Formats: sequence, structure tokens, C-alpha cells
Amino acid sequence: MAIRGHGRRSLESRHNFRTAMVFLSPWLVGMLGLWLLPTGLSLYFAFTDYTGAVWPPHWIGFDNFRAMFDGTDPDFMTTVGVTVWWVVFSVPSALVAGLLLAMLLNLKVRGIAFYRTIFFLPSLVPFVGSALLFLWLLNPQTGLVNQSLGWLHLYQPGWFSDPSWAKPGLLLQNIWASGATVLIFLAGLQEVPIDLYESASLDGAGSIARFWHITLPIITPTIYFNLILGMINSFQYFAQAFVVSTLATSASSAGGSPEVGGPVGSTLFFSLHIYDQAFQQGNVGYASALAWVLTLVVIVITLVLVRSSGKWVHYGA
Amino acid sequence: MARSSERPTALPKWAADARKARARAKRFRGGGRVARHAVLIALALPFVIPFYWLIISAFKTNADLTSLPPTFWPHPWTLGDLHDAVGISGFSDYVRNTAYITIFNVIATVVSSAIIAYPFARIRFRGREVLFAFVLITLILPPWTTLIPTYYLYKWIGWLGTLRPLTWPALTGNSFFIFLLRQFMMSIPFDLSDSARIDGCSEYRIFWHIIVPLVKPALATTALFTFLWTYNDFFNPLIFLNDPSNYTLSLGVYQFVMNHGVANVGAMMAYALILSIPPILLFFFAQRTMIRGVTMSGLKF
Repeated sequence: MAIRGHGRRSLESRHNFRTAMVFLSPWLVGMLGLWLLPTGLSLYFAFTDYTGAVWPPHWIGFDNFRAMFDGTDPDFMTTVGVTVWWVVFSVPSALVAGLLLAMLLNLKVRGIAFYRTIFFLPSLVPFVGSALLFLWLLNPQTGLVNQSLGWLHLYQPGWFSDPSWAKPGLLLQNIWASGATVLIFLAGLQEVPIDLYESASLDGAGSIARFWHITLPIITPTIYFNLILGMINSFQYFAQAFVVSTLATSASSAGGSPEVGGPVGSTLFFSLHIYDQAFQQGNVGYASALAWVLTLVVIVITLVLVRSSGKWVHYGA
Repeated sequence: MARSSERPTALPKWAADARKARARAKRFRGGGRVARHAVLIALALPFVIPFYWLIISAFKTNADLTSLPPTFWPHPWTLGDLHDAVGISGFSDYVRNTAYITIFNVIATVVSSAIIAYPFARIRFRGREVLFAFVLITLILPPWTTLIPTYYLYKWIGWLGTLRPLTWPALTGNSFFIFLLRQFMMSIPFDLSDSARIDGCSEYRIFWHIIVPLVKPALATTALFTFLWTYNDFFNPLIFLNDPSNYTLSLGVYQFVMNHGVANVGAMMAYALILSIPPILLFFFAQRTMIRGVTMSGLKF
């Protein structure tokens, strides 16, 4: 398909190119101004000590990347730990809860549409709304959850004011709002042909065997899809943790300054650390370096998952 | 269901046995119906109760809210919390800004994404694969790398303090919907546009008169999810809006609680309830479009 050439064909191809560019012109502007230019700038910032004030920024080579590991940034290891904890717990819990709920919602009982709506509704509550709701539900003294636990004579955690219970609190909120994951699983389950179950039952397969040998293999594409999406999202988990941590710490410290990722850094997710460094501490260069580390980690993990998929994801029958 | 019609009318013996076995199982499961409902209700409770709590907390008096043990029914019912929530300074600004940003984004994203998806799906031109690879890259890469410099770019051209950073970028299309609409447009038979082209129809007319009417369901999905995403968005307003008169509803309630502490729980819950109404209303009106969007392309909100 040469652009230069003779005859109708090349004229047509040049004409096509011109028409396509007319259609694409808004996208090209965005691509250059909102993607290529910022990407280039951010790569440049990552090797400077830019603070957002003095231009041009001062080139410092790999110092920003070294600062992550040599203790210059005492929070780096904390934020890595918090993020790894979150990925390890939130992704599997959402997958298992999503699949279990979807299997339940796939039962044939009267009024199942009503149940489906109930499980789905919480995911429609905007982030900030559900963050406020959980701050209230998980209030250590007057919240419904601790009151109920107290009534049952069980341990009452401090939730968002206790460093060891803040992440589990966020996990509860995350599962509560996982209606979309459930819905995707439900769509996957409805693809499983009923005949397969019937013939397996005739062969004497119990319900566990049927789940293990029929349901699970057939929905591996759905699991894979939810796994990749969940993984990418959990590495970048931001809004809920930001709202909950800053509000919980500002309330408990009574007029004190809110702590991004508090209490005591227990919810300092990687993206919160980037935000804090870039927009509150003024370490723009360092924050850009952090953003690139996050990007590279997400790319590598996605590639590993994509590579591994051939081994366990079954497409089609 | 349609499958049964394909079956031969005379069943072989094993199939008849199977049918009997199934009927037996169904009878046996009749007793399990109660059990099924019990399990469903038990698991639904953790999802329903927080939602119920959100609603009733918005109608409780502050004394009622902090009374121990908590009560499951407001006593007495009050509209005071809703009144407090609506009455916070700047509320009408937040409503106006949110409406403007959301409507702008919905219209701009639908129009621009459709226009941009068209050549990727229906025109053969040099460099198409390379350019489309860029759409995919922007789709996959986390937004953090571009976010920080974008903030400074907006600062340098004087956009910070205006609503432009949250509206104008929508004119350049959204990678996700460009991708989605391209898939839809590719599934339309090419004979349709080829014959129009032979009749002397221009590419613009083909786009507008043939393709757009056929991808309306996908455009509805785009509009719906752009609405939900923009309306829910906390992240971009937090970073790009620094003037309280520009705040959106989500950012406004955050600032309100930040400034006044969690003391006025009633107003906080009333605000959260008000905030949840538009997406939930939309769900009941556009349930099928929404569920199709979630299940087909994994769109979340």
C-alpha cells in the first residue's frame, strides 16, 4: 500500500488517508497534548528534582530511584508493603466472593431478579458516598458494626483509627461494592451449557466434582478477565483510601492535620504516596519517578498474567 | 430452551431414564426451595443492611443517631439532615458544576469517540494499525505518569481554577469507548458502506446516515457509563479543582466533612444519600443498557 505511485489505487489511498485524518484530528490533538507531551515530561521529571516552582528543573540522574531504596524516603517500603497487602487480599477476596455470589444468583428460584438487584445496588453508590457510609458503620464507638459485635460479646476493632484494622475495613467496603464483578461472573456462569451438568450427574458426579470439573474450567476466561482488571485496579487503588484515611485521621486527631494514608501509614497505598509527594510535599520529580515504577510494575504483572493465561484459561468448547 | 425443539420426539431409553431422574431431583429439591431462599437472604443481609443504614441515618435526629444501642427505625423521622445537607454553603454551586461537567462529558465523549472510532473500523489508510496501537496503550497504562505533568501543563496555560481540565479533554475522545465503538462498527457488513460508496456517497454521509444509526446501542452504553464515571469521579476534581466555587458534589461533601469533622453524621449521611440518587435512578431506567455494558465489556463504576 504505497502512498506514492501511479493510477487510481494510490489516489484512492491518499484520499482515504486524508479522510481518516479529518476524522482523527480531535484524537491526534489529545494524543499529542494530553498523552505524548505529558509522558515525555514525566519521564524527564523523574530524573530531576523538580519541585513545581523553579524552571528548568535540575537534572539529578538516577537519584530519585536510588532514594526509594536507600532509606532517603522512609515511607517507600511502607507503601510497597501496604500495596502488596492490598493486591494479595483484595483481588482474591473479590474473585472468590464474586464467584460465590454469582453462583447463588444463578440459582433458579422465584424472585431471583430481585436478589440480583439487591447485590448490585451498593456498587451504584458513588465512591465518596460509600466511604462516608463505611466511616459511619465502622465507627469504633457508635457504629452499627461494633455495636453488633459488642452485643455478641466479640472483639470490637478500632477499624479506621487502628493501623492494623484500617485495611480490613477498606476490604469490607470493597466487597460490599463488588456488584459489577458479580455481574460479570453471572454472565460467565450463564454460558455453561446445562446439558453438561446433566450428563455429569448421570455419570455420578457430585456437586463438588461438577463445580471443579465443569463450572470452573468453563468460566476460566471470566476469572482471567476479572483477575486482570482487578489486579490493574488494585495497584492503583486511590479514591476510597484517600477519603477514608484523611477523614478518619482528621476526626480522631481533633483539628490536627489529616494524614494521607493514615493512621500511621497503614493505608498509604502507592497511589496515595504519589499524590502526597507530588501535590502536598512538592517533590514532583520524585513523585514522577514513583509513578514510573508503578507503571512498570503494572505492565510486568499484566504481561506475566497474559503469558500464563495459555496454561489455565480455556477458550471455547 | 430453544434446544428442546431440536430433540427427537422418541427418546432413547437412557434419555427417558435421565428425564425421570431429573424429575425426581426436582421433587427432592422442592424442599430445598426454602433452604435456597434462606441462604440467599442470609448472604443478602450484609449487602442490604449498610444500604438500609444509609437511608435511615439520613432521616434520624442527631440524638437518635448516637443513641445506644442503635435503632433500626428513625424515632422520630426528621428532614433536618436533608435540610442541613442541601443548606451547606456552596451546595447549589456543586450541583451546577456537577451537572455542567457531566453533561459536557457525556455529549463530548459520545460524539468524539464515535467520530474517532469510525476510521479505525471502516477506512483503510496507511498507519492505521500503528495509530490504533496507541489507543490500546493509552487504554492500558495507568494514568499516574501523565497526571503530574498534565497538572503543570494546565497550570502553565492558566486552566487551573477553571472547569476546563475536567471538560475539554473529553473532546479528544475516550480510549475505552473508541475501542468499544470500533468493535461495534467492525461488525457491520461492509457491503452496506461499499454500495453506498459506489452510489457516490461521501465518507461523512456514510458515517452519519449508515453507521451511526446502527451503533446506537453502543452509543447508549457510552453515554451511560460516561455519565456514571464522570459523576462518580473524585480523583480528577481533587487534583484539578482548587477553587471551592468550582467543586463538584463528590469533592464538595469531602470538603464539608473535612472542615466540620464527622460530628454531623446526619447531614453527612443525607448528603451521601442525595449523592447516590442519580446513579440509582438511572439504573432503574436504563437497567438493560447498564447490565449489558457491565457484562459485555467489564465496565465498572
